[in-house]
Amino acid sequence: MLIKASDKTTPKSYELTSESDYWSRRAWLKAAGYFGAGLAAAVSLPVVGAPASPETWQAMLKQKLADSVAWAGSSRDKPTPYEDIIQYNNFYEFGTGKDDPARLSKSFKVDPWRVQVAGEVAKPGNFTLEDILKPHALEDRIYRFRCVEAWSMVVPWVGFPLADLLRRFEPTSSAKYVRFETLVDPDRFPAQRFGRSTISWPYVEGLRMDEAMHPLTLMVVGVYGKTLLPQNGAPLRLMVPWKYGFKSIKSIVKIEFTSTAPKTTWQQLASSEYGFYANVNPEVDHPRWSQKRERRLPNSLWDPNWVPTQKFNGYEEQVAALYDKMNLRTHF
Amino acid sequence: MLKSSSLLRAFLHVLLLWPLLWLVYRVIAGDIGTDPAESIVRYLGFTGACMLWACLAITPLRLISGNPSWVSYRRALGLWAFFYTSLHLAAFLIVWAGLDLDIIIEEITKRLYVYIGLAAWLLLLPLAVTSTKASRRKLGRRWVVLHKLIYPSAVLAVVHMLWLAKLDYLQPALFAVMLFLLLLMRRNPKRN
Repeated sequence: MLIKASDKTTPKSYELTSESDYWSRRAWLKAAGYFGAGLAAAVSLPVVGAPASPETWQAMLKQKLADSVAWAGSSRDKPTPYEDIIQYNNFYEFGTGKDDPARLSKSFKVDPWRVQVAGEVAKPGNFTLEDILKPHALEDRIYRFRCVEAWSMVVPWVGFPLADLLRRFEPTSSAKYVRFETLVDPDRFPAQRFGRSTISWPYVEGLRMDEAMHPLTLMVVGVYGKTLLPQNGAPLRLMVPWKYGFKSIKSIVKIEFTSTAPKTTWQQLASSEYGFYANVNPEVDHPRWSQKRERRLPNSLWDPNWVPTQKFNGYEEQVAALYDKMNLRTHF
Repeated sequence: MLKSSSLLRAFLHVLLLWPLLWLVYRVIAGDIGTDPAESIVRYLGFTGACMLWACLAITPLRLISGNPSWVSYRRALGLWAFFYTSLHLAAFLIVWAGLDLDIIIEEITKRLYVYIGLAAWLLLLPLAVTSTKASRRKLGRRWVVLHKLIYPSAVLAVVHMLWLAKLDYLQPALFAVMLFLLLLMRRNPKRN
């Protein structure tokens, strides 16, 4: 598959944040105590489960978070509060309840963490997080996030384009897909303990090469200017904003370049309900429910806050070309 | 020896009202989560199912204990079960769907488990309506037959729970197993 650097990835003028909005957003972030280098240092970023002496990658990440720059294409939608983002999660390695991840990840160790790179690639290897992070500058990107269960959030992620990372390993011409794996460690993930789950771990996700190289596809290390928490997929997770949430794999320990499409976890669990592409699409219903609209979180007792779902989660301009010749009903 | 004294019955009512008070407290305290609608609907559905199952446990309890006075609690349990499943339905329509007719129609037709849940509730409706002593007297033998609708209703409730689960089948499976056991225990020869 040819990788096209298309103009469609440049945000449209109406999608660009006006200067006043940009500054008011910054001011708001600052007021909320989430932003600014000095502030970040003073607040002392919570690195969950970190040993007493900070590891080098964590120090490096702190500095990079402080130096992160706002991305011009950010969503103008009002971001979901930080408390909701860190308390309402689907992360079945911790449990199937929405509050299980926040509850059961308090002692989750992110150190040591290594990422194995394998497959159709010139430079495979076993990399520390410091290796992974070193050359990348971080961007603050506010993305819409749509779960297949028909709820959604707006999340200020911090990360860098996955493409920049993948290029460093020099994928060969036979690399057509990228396959990702989440950590398997029953000591750290309670639901992976014997008899606790019907899923065969590790959690596996995958992207076609052109999807993985798309400028919107983000390797995430932070939220709201802070280090990513375990319930959100620390220390390294993907964010593919035009796809349902389950495509955006968390706590990545392996990246493999393959010539054939990887079989993903949710395809194995229920292939009629969760396809490989999983593009957000209001025109194609889930077999058990409509995908026409979503409940934007947080909502309230008096207003469920239903909003219409947008094709490709509102990123149609940028990504529709990837699926030009495909029937999205069969390739759901 | 268990006695169906009015004191015990009053205690039962307070006990069965408690889940609602607890829910109201959590809502007021703002401890209802990021998606209050989903939490409230699930909580009320779960509570309603527990009470329906408790109601179904009366006959086995009577058979095992040989004490007929258990039956005097059955109507209260049944009515409270109906009350909570009605709140569950009302919360779905008002809080979850925001009383938006388009959403309600689409959810009922597209989400088959909503359809089945609604059927389970509709089967309980005539039981609640005819729960008075006067109705029982008037209907006579037919009252007993009519009130057997609780069985298909409970079966549909289990289908409802299983169908809406994504991967967390443990809870609906427990309800299914308990229902199976409660029905099985009715085959006790002492019954007739």
